[in-house]
Amino acid sequence: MWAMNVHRFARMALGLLWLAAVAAAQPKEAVKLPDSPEDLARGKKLYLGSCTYCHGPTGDGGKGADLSRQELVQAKTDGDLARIIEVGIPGTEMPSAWHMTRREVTQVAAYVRSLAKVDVRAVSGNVAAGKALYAKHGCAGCHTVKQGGVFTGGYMGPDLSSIGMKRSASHLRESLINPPASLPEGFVPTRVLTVSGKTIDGVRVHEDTFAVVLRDFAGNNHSYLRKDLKEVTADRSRSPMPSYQEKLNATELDDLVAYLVSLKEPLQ
Amino acid sequence: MRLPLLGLTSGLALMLAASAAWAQNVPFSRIVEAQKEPHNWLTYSGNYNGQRHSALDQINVSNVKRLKVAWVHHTGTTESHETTPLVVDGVMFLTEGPNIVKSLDTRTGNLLWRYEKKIPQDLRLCCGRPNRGVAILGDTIYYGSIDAHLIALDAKTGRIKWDVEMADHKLGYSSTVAPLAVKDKILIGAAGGEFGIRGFLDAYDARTGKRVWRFHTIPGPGDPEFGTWEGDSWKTGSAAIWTTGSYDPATNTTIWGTGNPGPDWNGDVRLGDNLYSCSFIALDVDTGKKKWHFQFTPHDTHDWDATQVPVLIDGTFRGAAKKMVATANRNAFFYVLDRDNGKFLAGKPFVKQTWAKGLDDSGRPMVIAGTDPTEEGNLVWPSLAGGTNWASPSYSPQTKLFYVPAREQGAFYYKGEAEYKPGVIFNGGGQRVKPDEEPYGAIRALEPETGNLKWEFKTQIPLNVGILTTQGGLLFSGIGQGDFFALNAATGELLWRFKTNGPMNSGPMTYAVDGKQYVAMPIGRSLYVFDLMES
Repeated sequence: MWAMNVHRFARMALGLLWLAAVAAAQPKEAVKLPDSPEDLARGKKLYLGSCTYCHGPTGDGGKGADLSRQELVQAKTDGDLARIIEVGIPGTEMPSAWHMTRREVTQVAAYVRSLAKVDVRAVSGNVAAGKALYAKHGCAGCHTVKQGGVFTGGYMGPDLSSIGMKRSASHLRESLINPPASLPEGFVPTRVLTVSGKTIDGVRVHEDTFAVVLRDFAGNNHSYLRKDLKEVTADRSRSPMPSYQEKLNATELDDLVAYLVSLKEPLQ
Repeated sequence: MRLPLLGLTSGLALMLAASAAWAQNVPFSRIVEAQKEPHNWLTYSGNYNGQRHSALDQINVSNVKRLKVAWVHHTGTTESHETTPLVVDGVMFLTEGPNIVKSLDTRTGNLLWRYEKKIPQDLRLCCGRPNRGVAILGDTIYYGSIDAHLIALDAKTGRIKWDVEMADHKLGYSSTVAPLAVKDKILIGAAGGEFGIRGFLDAYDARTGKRVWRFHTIPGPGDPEFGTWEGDSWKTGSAAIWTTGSYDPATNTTIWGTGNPGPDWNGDVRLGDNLYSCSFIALDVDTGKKKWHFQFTPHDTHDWDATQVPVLIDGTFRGAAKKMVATANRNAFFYVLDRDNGKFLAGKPFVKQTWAKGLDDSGRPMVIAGTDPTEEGNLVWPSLAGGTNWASPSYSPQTKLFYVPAREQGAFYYKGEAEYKPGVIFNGGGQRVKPDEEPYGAIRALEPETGNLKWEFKTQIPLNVGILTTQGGLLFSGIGQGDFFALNAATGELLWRFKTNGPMNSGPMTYAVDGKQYVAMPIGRSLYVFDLMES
C-alpha cells in the first residue's frame, strides 16, 4: 500500500543537513558514470523498478525531487548522486539502495543524468537578439526574469529566471509553437461565470469543493464561493500564452530560444 | 439513543458515574456490547462490526448548523495524522506518528499522560510513519509501533507493561494499524508490503504479550492453498496488514483485509493468483485457523490492496435474511459477501474502471488483457490510490446505506525490474497519475444489496478521509484540502462545514460526556473536537 505523505519538506531539510555533514566528513570521490547504451538500459530498468513512484518515470518529480534538471540541488556532482542512491537520505523517505552493486548504482546515476531535459548542445540563436524579441513581444507582461538583481515582469505565467536549467531548447521551442502541449500546473486557464452573469477569465490559483480563486490577466486575484458561481470551466486544452509559430520566423525563434536557454539563475 | 441537549439518559448516567473516577476498565463484554454505551468509542471502528456508526443523536440534522469548535489539541507531529481516538468514560486515547501515545481529558483536551516509544533510525518504510490508533482491553492500552512492536501501556498512567517484537524492522516489517482486542487476545498484523515481507496476522495474550497464534497471509508448504505463487516468490509476497479488521461474536470470526502482493507492479516474477494477497481472510479468533477467504484481485499488478475495514451487515439479500460483509475495494468494485462462508453475493463498480469486463458469478474479475503495467506506461483506471483507499467507510442501520469516500482518477502504470534483497524496497515499477485530467472525488451512498448508487456528494479532489454516520441522521467526513463537513445521510445534502485549511488523513469519531455529544477529527497536526453552540 502506498499512501501520500505530506510532510516531505521538513524531512528534506533534515536530509540537506545530513548531506552537509556527510560532505564535510568524507573526501569527495570522483565517480565516472558509465555511458554505454547497455549501461543506460540497465539503469533505466533499475530506475523504473525502484525510483519511479517518487521521482516519476521521466524524472520530473512528484513525491520525490525533480530529477529532470541538469543541476540537481542535492547532487551537484556524479559522486554526490551515486552516494545518495547508495545510502539514501536519512530522515527522509529517500531509501538506501545498498542492495545494488556499485556498478548498478552508477548505472542508475547515469540514467538519472540522462533524464535532464536540458539540451547541452549549442543553441544556434543569438541571445541578445532573443532578449530584444522577448521585450518586443511583451513576454514580460506575463513572465518574470531576474535582471540586474531584480525579478522583473508579470505573474500570469511561470517565472523564467532559471528556465535554462530546467528545460531543454527543444522543449522550449515546442512550448513557443504549441503552448498547450506542456501546460504548467498552476497555470490552467479557467473561466468562471457568476450567478449575476459576469464572466472572468484567468488562471486557476485555487479550486476546492466550496471556493475558487482566479488570477485575471491583469494580475488581480478574484475569490469566489461556489454558491455565487454558475459555472467553473478549467480548460487544459488551451494556454493563456499565444502560439509564436506565425509571429516569429525561424531565425527569431532560434534567437528567443537561445535567450531562454541562457536564463540560469541558481535554483533555490 | 436520543439525548436532550445538556440532559441525561440512563446511558449517560452510567458514563458520568464512571468519568468521575476515570475507571477505564474495559472487559471484552463491554466491547462486544459497545452499542449499549454509545457515549464511548471502545474500538477502532466504534464497534466490532466495522460500521463506524454511532447511536448518538444529540447532534442531528436539525441542529448541526450550530456545531462549533469545543477544543483543539495541538500535537506537533510532522507525520500524516491518521489516528482514530478511543474514548472510555470521559478519557481519550490517541496516537501520533511516529511514536507517541497520549491520553486526554475529553471535556477539555488536557493531557493526562504521554508515552513515547524509542524507535530505531534504520526503519524501512514506504509511506511515512503514521499510526492509526490503539486498542483497549481491561485497564490496558495496546499500541503497534512503527518498528513492528506491540506494546502494552497502563491506561491510567501510560506506563509500559510489556513490549514484544512482532518482526524484524530491518527486513521491512513495520506497524501502523490500530490493534483489535477480542476476548483475551490482541490481534495485530504487520505492514511493509513494499519490502517483500511475508505478511501475517498475530494474536497475543493480552496479559503477558506472549504470541498465541500467527496466521501467515501467504500460505506456505503443506497448506492446501500453497502453490498460487510461482517458485519461491511466496516467501517475499508481502500481503501486509494496514487496517483494522472486524469481529463477528456470533461465530467467533475475525475478518481482515490484506495488502498487495510484492513486488507491486511487476507480476512476472510471481505468476499465479498470489493468495491471500488483496483478500479478506476470516479466522477463528481462538485458533487463528482460516474459515474462508475471498480474493478481490487475483494476481494484482496495480497495488490495489484490500485495505478497507470489513463492514458487517445483518440484513436481507434478495428477500432472505443474510449475514453479510460489505466492502468497497481499492480495485473499483463494491462487493457483498456471505459472512458465513465468504461466498460472493453481488458486486459492481462504484467508480470508473478500465481493467475488468466485470465480475463473474464467483466474484472473480474478468480481467481485460493488456491492462498490466508496462515499461512505457499503461493508462488504467483507477489510479494506484484506488477507487477508495484505507479511509474507513460507514454503514448506517438507520438509512441502510453503505457510504464510501470515492476517488475518480486514472494513472499510467510502469513496470520495472524487481529483485528481492532483504529490507530493500521491492516494488517493480510505479505510477504517474494522468496529468491532463481533472480528477475528482465523491461521498457515495450505495445500497448494499445491489451496489446501486443512491446519492453522491461530489468533491473537487479524490477523497481519502474516513466516514462517520450517526443516529442523528448525519454523515461526517472531510476533504484533503481542509473542509470538514456534515451531510444529511439520507439525501447527501450539505448541512454544515468547517474550513480548516489543514490536511485530513483520518476519519471522524463521536462521543459524549457530561450529557454533551462531541465529534472529534484529526486535522493538520491537531485534533479538533466539536460540540453544539448553546441555542
